[in-house]
Parts: sequence; C-alpha cells; structure tokens
Amino acid sequence: MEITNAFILSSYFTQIVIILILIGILITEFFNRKKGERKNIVSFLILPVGVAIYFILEIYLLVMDSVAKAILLGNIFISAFLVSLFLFDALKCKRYIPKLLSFATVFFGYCISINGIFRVIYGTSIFNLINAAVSLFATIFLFFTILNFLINSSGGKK
Amino acid sequence: MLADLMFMVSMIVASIFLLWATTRCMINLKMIKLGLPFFFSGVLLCFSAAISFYGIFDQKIWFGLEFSWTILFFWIFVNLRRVNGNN
Repeated sequence: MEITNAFILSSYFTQIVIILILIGILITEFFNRKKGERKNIVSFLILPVGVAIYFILEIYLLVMDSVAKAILLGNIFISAFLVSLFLFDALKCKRYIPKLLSFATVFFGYCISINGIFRVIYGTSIFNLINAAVSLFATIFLFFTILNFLINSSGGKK
Repeated sequence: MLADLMFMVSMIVASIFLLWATTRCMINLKMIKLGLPFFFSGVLLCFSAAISFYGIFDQKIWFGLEFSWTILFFWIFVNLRRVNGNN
C-alpha cells in the first residue's frame, strides 16, 4: 500500500476513535447532569453519530478502491447537513462556546463539502489527501468545541 | 505477523484509555490547556497503531513520529515547570 493511502486511512481511523470517545463522554455526561441541561447534550449527541457514519462511508470508499458517485455525492450532502446542524447548535448555546473554535469548525466543515465537489468533478487522487487532512482538523476542533460546551455549561452534578 | 497484531492492539487500547482519561480529567478539573499534550499523545498512538497495520514504517514516517514525540515531551516538560515553579 502507498504511503499516501496509509496516511489517509490512519487519519480516518484516528478520527473514528476520537468521535467514539466523544460519544462516550457525551453519554456519561447526559446521565450525570440535571434534567434541564440534558436537552442541549442530546442535540450535540446527534453530530458525532453523523460524523461517524461519514467516516465509515469514506473508509469503505478507500478500502474497496471505489469511486462510486452516489457515495461521493452523499458525503457532500452529509457533511453540509452536519455543518448546518453544528451551526444551529452553536448558535443555540453560543454563550457556552468560544467563538473562534466554532468558527474554525464551521470553516473546516465547509472546506470538506467544497472539496467533495472537486472530488466528484476531477477524481479522487489529490483531493482524498486534502479531505483527510481537513477532516482531521475539523474533528479536533469539533471535539474541543463540545468539550468547552460541557465544561462551561455544567452547573453542578445531579 | 502475531507481533504486529499484538503491537497494534496494545497501541489501540493505550490510545483509547489515554484519550478517555484525559478528556474526563479536562472536564472534571475544568482545565483544557494542561491536558492538550496528553490528548495529542493519544492521537499519535492511534496513528502508530494504524500505520503498523500496513507494515510500512519507512524512514519518513519514523522521522515524523519521533519528531512529534519530542515536541510533545517538551510541551509536557514546559507545563510541568510552569505548574510547579521554575526551580
């Protein structure tokens, strides 16, 4: 296997681990919080689940060495939907989240969608590498945004 | 083959434990900055596990990984000195 492909697959693998940790943390926090604070946590819980589906589709494309247009187009819509969902959640809880972090997440998220359009038009050679790098940044920023939300919104344990 | 598999599984378990423990600590102590180098150590362990799966530890990857570890250790060292005082 080429080094580039190995880098891309290991990047997606790392992101799946980060996302799984995030889901676990959100679920444990959900059961530790008071009833009033749980609603926001559920709205943030949908995001990492969607991101995990996105990465599973990407890994499928790479491992099968496929350029299925349906999955590539589907990934553009999934990423755009997830970024819009994040924007909605971030605006709803904007007093708990640092502006810079949420802007960075939205920026890198839309970079994924735009890169997806290029992947459909020009093929997947170099754009897969860009996608892996950009999505790693987006995932790390998403992780720290949600971490900041959890820290700032905790009013005390149950 | 067996050694590769054992290395990979131990790296994955270590990285998941490190990421989980660091994140819980960051939330409970409300300190993100001090936990950052440990978070990135977890990410690097995950990368090592995935790369070992393909068995291509060539020189460029080795240089990259070791250089990242050096930066992380210095980051932890600087944090330790800042927290405990420069004595």
